[in-house]
Amino acid sequence: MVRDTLRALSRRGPFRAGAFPSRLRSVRLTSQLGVALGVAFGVCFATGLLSHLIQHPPGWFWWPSRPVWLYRFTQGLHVATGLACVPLLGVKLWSVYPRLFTWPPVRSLAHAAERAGVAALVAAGLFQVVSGVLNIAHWYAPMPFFFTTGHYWVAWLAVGAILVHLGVQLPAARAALRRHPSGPVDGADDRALPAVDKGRRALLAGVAAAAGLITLTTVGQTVRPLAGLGVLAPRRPGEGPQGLPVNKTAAAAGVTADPAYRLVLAGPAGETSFDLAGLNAMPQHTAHLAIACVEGWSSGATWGGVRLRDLVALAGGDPDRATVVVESLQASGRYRVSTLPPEHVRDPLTLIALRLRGEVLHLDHGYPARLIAPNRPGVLQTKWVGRITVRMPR
Amino acid sequence: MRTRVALVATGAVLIAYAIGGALADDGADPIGMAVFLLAVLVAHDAVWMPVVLAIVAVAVRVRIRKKPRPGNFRKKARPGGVRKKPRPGNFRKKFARPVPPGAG
Repeated sequence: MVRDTLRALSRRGPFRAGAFPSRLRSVRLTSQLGVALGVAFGVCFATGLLSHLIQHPPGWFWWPSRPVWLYRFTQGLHVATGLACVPLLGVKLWSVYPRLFTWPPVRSLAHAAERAGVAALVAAGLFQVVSGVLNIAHWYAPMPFFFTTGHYWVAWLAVGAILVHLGVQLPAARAALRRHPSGPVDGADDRALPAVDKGRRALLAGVAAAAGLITLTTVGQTVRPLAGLGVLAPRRPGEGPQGLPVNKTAAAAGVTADPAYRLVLAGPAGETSFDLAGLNAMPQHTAHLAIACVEGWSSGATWGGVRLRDLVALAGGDPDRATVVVESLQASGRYRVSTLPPEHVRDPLTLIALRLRGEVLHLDHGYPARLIAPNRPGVLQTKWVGRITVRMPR
Repeated sequence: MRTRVALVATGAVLIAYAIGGALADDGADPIGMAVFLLAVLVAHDAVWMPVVLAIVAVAVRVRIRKKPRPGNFRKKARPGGVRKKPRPGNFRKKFARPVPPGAG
């Protein structure tokens, strides 16, 4: 009885033979898309891991302050490659979709493990692409987890599942990629080969064009000359108060302008504080630096203010060896505090900025004082600085 | 074979690292992550892909109906301007042809 029901089921809907008649699907197409997707995921993983290490540096990690554009490049590449994965992953999953309805669903324990691995791979790939797109769109409601942490751990899951999948499929993929022109697919005779080949190439060209179009219409959020083409980019480099985008506003952070503001400076020489007039009376410097956001947008501007190394010296620290902890006036938040390693403290471009493009900072840009340092993620450029603590190595 | 074993073993270690890391990380929400993993998988396989395939199948079918077959047009006019009646079989033959690449 059960056997009859299963047999009947195997002949219905997507389980019946010929349910997926497209002749474009082939092992060769899947392998070619797999190679492209593997490279794209590899780039995303490496650049994403780098960003994670910069934000949560372990003891062995070292990140320089120069070149000033390096993080802007790696994170722009991370987001651009991730977005290019959308059509790649979509067509790759289409090319193997009929395998979801393989009958019988499980033939052995090894087959079950392989299918579970594929499910983990597909779920992790979709998770990364979907959550990444939601993040750059600033739409967090559909994600029942903190984006950064979830995206990080599932990246490891995706890479592990890719390696397992590659180990299982290596002989088939090698054979399919070596064969030229493409081998026959199920149900296609030799006369159909040229059409299949032509169709496969057209499909690959379409995928490449879609990836290129997505890149062209979004990469303007970090590549200024292409800003005009960035119709799909959630952020434009020149938009926002004082011509610079804002991720977290003062209202969202719960910060208001306080006439009694004082910046507390603590270090080996003790604790002191400065009001805004006192900070403005110190030697002022300018630096042209970009805010490079983890979401892929970046925008350069000229900042004016006090060099952090000058403040470190005032606090009795050695600017070449000190580590500095910068705290915001915002009461809570994961990025309320950031730590600068000696490479960034000693860099003369690292400022406690008081001005942006020659004007007093807008409250949303961190008035009365904010940190701006070269080659750092935007989330570590602390706004509304209230306290600076200088620590010397023991 | 050694390469394949090494790939599978390394992959398994990384998967274990990911699961262990997510469970041990105070800032992570493993249940929320698992829910989202399952949700995107089901949404893709049970909703998105069937809808896309159905749209493509309908579009291909409409295209076949609209596309005139070369054999339906006569290159020479019949003597006396007599037109040959279209055979009912001509219409059916369109659907007897092999499915074009990309359909389904």
